[in-house]
Amino acid sequence: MNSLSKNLTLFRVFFSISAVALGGGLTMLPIMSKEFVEKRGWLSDNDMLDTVAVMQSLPGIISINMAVLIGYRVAGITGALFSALGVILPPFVAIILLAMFLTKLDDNETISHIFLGVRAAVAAMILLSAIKLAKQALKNRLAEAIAIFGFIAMVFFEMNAILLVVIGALVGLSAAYLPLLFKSSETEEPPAK
Amino acid sequence: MKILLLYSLFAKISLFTFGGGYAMIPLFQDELVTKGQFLNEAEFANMVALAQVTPGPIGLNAATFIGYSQAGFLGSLAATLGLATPSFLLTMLAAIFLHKFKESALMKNLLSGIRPAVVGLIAAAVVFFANTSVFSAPLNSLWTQGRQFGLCWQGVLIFVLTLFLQKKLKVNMFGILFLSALLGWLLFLV
Repeated sequence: MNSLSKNLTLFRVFFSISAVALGGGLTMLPIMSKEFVEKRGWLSDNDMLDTVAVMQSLPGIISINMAVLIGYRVAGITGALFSALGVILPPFVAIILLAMFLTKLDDNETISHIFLGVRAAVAAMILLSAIKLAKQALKNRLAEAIAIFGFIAMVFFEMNAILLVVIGALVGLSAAYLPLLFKSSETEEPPAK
Repeated sequence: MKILLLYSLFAKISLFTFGGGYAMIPLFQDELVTKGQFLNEAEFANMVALAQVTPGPIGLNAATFIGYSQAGFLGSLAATLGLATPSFLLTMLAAIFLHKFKESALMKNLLSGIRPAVVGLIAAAVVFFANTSVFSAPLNSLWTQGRQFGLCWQGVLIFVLTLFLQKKLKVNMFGILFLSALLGWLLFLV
């Protein structure tokens, strides 16, 4: 298979996944391993595991990150570009078409009631994914404390979300490196008994 | 000018979003509603709800929508590209240095603090949506004017039903969103 047709296949597969994937991100994973591992044999199961591990530690849009990692693995930089374009295009076109017709969303009472219903359902969906994530991410007291602090700061004190992420990163770093610092100073001058 | 502003705003949001989708909502809210005042709370909540109903990654959908509402087609393009740029560049770097990146202790330690912060962020996004559906007034108004705070029974019903349908019966998202829209309409006729 030459590289252009590989690139086009990447584009086509990511385009169709993005066009149907509700919620995006990790929901795309099973379809991708079917397409790239089982059907085409372009990647191994380990490649997929690597992709997931790296993708979750990068900022940005999960599905773009995933497309770039897989596209690059399959066909280098052009592969990454074609894959990313495949992910971006369907929602872009669909939403622009929708937005052209829906400029005002709150026009009448019925529509605002319908949206109230959807917002209540979205709140419940996000709660479920927050619980799932909490089970994975909150493995010690410190992690629990960061999450609770973040929640309270956001909801009651209108803390900036970016600031919260930065604070989390700093706490993570201090928890890992500060003990080392203290350890090395302890060996120099042992604490008085 | 607005186009550039949209591009840089969404690039900034993308750079600080870990965990995708839902984790992005509070960042959108901060930058676009609270600070930028591009949208009010209700408009923003509706756009996110709509981004949820339409296929495709929720962050991209919301960016395209918000970009369009601010500056038409070019606004959409700027917002989408802004969101995609950090994602693309950083992931490219990670793909090239995959093995070094995967085993980097620095990255691991950074993430050990960022992940729990993101859990807090996502939990806060629940309250954001509940504020205009399940609760009759924003939760943080309990603080200042506790008497106004209450529940909206229609919202509570849809919220609880969704938890049940998704968790116990594994109903798919399309079905749930359609049902919730229908119930939103019907319950208020009662």
